[in-house]
Amino acid sequence: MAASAAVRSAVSLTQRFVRVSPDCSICPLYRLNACTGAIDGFTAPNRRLRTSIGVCQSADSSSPEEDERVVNVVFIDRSGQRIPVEARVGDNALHLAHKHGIELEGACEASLACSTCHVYVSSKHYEKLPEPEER
Amino acid sequence: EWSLCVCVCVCGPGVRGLSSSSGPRVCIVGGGPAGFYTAQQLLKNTAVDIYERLPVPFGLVRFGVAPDHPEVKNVINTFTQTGQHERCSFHGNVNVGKDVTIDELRQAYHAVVLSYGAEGNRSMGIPGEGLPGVFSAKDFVGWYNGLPSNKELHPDLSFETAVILGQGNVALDVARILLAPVEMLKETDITQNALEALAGSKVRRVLIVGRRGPLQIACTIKELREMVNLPNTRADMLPADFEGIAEALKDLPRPRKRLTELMMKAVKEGGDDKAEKCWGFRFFRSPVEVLAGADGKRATGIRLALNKLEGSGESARAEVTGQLEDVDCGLIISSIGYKSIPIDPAVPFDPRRAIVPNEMGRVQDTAGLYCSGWVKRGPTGVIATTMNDSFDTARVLIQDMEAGKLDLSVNKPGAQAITALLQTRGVRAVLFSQWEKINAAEEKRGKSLGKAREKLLDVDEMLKIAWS
Repeated sequence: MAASAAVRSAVSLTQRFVRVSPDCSICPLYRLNACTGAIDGFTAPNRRLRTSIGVCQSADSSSPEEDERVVNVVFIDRSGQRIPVEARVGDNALHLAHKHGIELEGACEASLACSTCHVYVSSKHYEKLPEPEER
Repeated sequence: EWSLCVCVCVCGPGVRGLSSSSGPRVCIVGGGPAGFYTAQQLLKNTAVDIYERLPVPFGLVRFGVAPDHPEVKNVINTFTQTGQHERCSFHGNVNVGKDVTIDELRQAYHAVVLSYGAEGNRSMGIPGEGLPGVFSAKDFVGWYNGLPSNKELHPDLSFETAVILGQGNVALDVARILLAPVEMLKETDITQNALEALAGSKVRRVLIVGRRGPLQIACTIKELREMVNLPNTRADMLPADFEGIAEALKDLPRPRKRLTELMMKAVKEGGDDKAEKCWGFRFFRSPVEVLAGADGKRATGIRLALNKLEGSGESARAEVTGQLEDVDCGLIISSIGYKSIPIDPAVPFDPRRAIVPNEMGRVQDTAGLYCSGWVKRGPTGVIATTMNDSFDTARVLIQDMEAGKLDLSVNKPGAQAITALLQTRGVRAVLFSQWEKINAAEEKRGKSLGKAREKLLDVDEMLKIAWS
């Protein structure tokens, strides 16, 4: 499916910092022994939030409705560098990457015409998506 | 008393490359997607010059992608950034192999990358193939896309039935352009003469013929979907061709399964009976002869041999049964593959596979010579495939630079030397900024016709505008 399709899943936030073990087995970098990211003690520079995969310590000031629309996305580039970014439900994943200076090719500029940008979704998350339609 | 003497070296846009310590220089032969994507990656490490035979860049993105697929051409924006890069210099109107040799390029640059694609086509190899009314898909597509060498094609569209041999994306593009309502095409960059010919076309039925079965079809789902959704057109398939397919569905990998399901849906639903036009796949059929009418002057039909399939999946083979079938038709388009040709006797070439023999993009037995795109892997794949392949070649070349396999200690003159050489031969290049004048002229001409652009069909006209 095209990376330019909207990021649909939302991550709910809690005040309590929760440590969650990420599922490295689905990551191609892990499989290629190319992962250089250290999960423990990871800090996001210039951000108020200390992040780990999928979990965010919310600031006191943001409202619950606003929080639900925030999605924490971690891009991992081919050198293994982890780039955490904040996104919103409905964001275009390719444009999000480009906004943060991440090198992702999109020959047709997100028109769903060419397949240069695409995502692999792990099977357990894939099951949660609606059936594709032929249109 | 001290006086300070400052020597200032001014480099204007026209004097690129004259400094004595120039750094690595690489040139690319071919200004299509492979050339531009390879350049894009190389520019991070080296100056890059692109040589292209036509005055205009972009290759099949300009001349191959169908006019009703303008979003696919968005990649031109990326290529334009590459072409405008300060370390990149485009030289159109230069025929490598004729105006300048590969050896001359290798002397002027630290490395040369061959990205000149596949300008020939595979022939069916059957009697009657040369008769009027028979075209290669490459030429037919070139005709509606404004390739200068196809401007005099004048295909006769006054016959009811057209038969296309081959079932890849190019075959489906041709079928769709033949059957699409003119309203769908009139605002695109299709050439005006093709638009007018199609507006007056009597073609109402298009058969798309393949040697093997539905599970081996080479097109992708997007193109199939577009055929199914064509207005005023119904699908006309043979249920017999689909025996056993429904049962095989469950074991298919997902992309193949979705494609096959869409095809089965088209077979079942057929479409609007009142539709004036129809199209259909015909499977298990190979062309054996183009039939001429009583006067023998042009194609009036095609003789097909019926096959049976041995094996299954992607590696299934078509075997002859001895049965034959004749189909009346006045337009035959052979879409069985493009083919690369050798560019220069100094470059190794594999005539059987029609590619330049290479190991990961390094041309066999020839240090400093690389290849990317169709000339490296064969003429299949979409833009994404060529993109990844070009990035691979660029990576290998940069690795070789960093590993000392290319002697970068020697200064190479690059375009300065080649331009001087071409001048002695009466050849003048078209620079990227000059292509932009052609581009502006085409967009302006298009505007007055309500189209995205009206392509110039004549090389001399292109040059006149470029150098004006």
